[in-house]
Amino acid sequence: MTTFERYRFTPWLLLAPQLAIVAVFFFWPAADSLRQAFYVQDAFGLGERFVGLANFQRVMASSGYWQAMSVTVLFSVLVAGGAMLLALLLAVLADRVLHGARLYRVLLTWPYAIAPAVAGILWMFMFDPVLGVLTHVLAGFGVHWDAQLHPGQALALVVIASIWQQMSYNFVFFLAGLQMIPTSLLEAAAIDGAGPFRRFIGITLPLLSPTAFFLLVMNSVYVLFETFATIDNTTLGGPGGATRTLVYKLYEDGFVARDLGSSSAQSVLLMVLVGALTFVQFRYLERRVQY
Amino acid sequence: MATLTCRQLSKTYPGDHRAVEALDLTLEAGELMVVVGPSGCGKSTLLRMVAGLEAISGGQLIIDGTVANALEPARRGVAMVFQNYALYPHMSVFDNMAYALKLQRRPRAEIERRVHEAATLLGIDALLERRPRHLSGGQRQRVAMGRAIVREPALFLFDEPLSNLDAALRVQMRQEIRRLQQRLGASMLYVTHDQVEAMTLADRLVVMREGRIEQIGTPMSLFEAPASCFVARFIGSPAMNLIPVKRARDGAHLCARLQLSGDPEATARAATLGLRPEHLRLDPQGELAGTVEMIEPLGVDALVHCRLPEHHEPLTARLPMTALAASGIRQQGAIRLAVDGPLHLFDDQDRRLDHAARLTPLPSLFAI
Repeated sequence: MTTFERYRFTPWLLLAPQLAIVAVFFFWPAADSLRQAFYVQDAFGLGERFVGLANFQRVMASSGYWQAMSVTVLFSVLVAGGAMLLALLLAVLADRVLHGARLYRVLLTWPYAIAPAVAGILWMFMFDPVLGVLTHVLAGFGVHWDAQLHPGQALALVVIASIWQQMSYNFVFFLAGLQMIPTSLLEAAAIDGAGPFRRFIGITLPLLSPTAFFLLVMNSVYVLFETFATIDNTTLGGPGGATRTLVYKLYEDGFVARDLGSSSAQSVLLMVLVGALTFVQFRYLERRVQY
Repeated sequence: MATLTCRQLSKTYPGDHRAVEALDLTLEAGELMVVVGPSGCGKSTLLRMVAGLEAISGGQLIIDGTVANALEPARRGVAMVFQNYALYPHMSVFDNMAYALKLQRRPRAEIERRVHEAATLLGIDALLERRPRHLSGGQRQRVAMGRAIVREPALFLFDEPLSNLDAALRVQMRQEIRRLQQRLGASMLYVTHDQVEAMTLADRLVVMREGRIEQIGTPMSLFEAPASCFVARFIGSPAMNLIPVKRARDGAHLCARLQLSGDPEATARAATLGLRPEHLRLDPQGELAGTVEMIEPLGVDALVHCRLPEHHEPLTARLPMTALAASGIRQQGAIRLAVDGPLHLFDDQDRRLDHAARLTPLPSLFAI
């Protein structure tokens, strides 16, 4: 009996705690939600009835779901796009800083260390229609700010708060990506006659594309799931559903309205959507990425 | 083909660190000039100033009669081959070579023609579709040179281009660069720390030390008449033996019974005596007597490291293996060597003294 055979169960034993956590907190709820998507529960949670695809049909037929879908698409594009572009811009600038570079980098990385819920409350207070500091500043410019009444302003608020949160994460990766590019490549391009802008487009960006692709996947996941806390602490999905994203609607329907069947169906749909999105990203975008 | 003139060219970094100090240099059209020196001597800084990658702190940089101090790198008409090749990893070999021409918005037909010409010249025309990561070290080196050639620059700059290659390939690429330079008739400024590369490639050699030029000249003139102990040590392999001269009432001595005679000026000022290892030969009557410390066989020749009495510096002789075997000399044994070539004398500032001198054995006390 070789050593490997004798200790065949040891690896499983060592993996067990982690596997148990994943099973209890991920696979079990996921399986449960998959099952519940095909059932309807009574109002008191005492009994349930198999309904086949009725939950899905109900969800797909509701205008509220499609409103949440369009809010999510707009929100995702704005947050993922904004957080990545802004992070890239800041990373390029921070990469050029000669003095106090470390300080800039720490400050720019800081927001990521703040829990989304705390960040949400922070932004809520700053933009509070009555108490908010920035509300007063905006009033000075003649802007009447009330995110609790104005749908556009509400969306802007959660978009800004989410970008602010996610930007740090993107910044760290973009900065690392920039620093991986050998200086001599940019020097060679300069001698070849490329100005700063052409160098950025022709050399820096293509060499950053693996980083950008990775961040696109990570940001998609962030914007679809993790922005929940930010929304829950600022706008609560309102006003009038202007900031009710798919994940927030799922939460409302399931945990506030106690419609577990519909909520489960939505979570299955969301899972399929994210899976499809990731597949598309890997299938079509990764090919164009330069490693 | 262009000329390059540096007038009092200087580079000072913050903190008053002077990388290059008041350097004067002229590169003739069609000349291959090699700048050589230990790391940190400012040779790369000089090259980068010429390329426009490093701002010039003082003096003038003149390329083909035009002051180029403030010109953009692209407008100086120079092409550079980097130590790590700096090939664009996301572009094919063709695109790497065509990049500069595309930026100049040359017609497509012309770009294709020029890239193919250069590729044929370097024997990489079969690799044009490949990405740099699919190339070997030698092939990358060729692509890097191809990228420079395609631009038809007035001046080629090489920054230690062969240091990432293995020894055999280095010898081959060295010859290829030389051939290429003669074929294109191009002006080249070539930086290296490898003195063999420097000797074999250069029309003229520049030895740099601590930001200053130590000596400029043809490789052979530097070998035959090094201007300082530094050059003497740097040029030639194995390095020249440098032995301190001792002063006594009756003149300059190497050892107690070995006097330095000849030009009185020379014997009065000489502080160091230089002897090439090749200029020593086995001779039972030789004037240099010492002990063998180590024998390093190289094949045809052997390096014999000896120690002279009263000296800490080892004396290295390059002796034919056959003569060594016939003499029966072994480690820790005694050896006698005769000087069979010029003596180099240096003063106490390590500068060369151009005076003839020889070593004369004093008669032994017992012989009187």
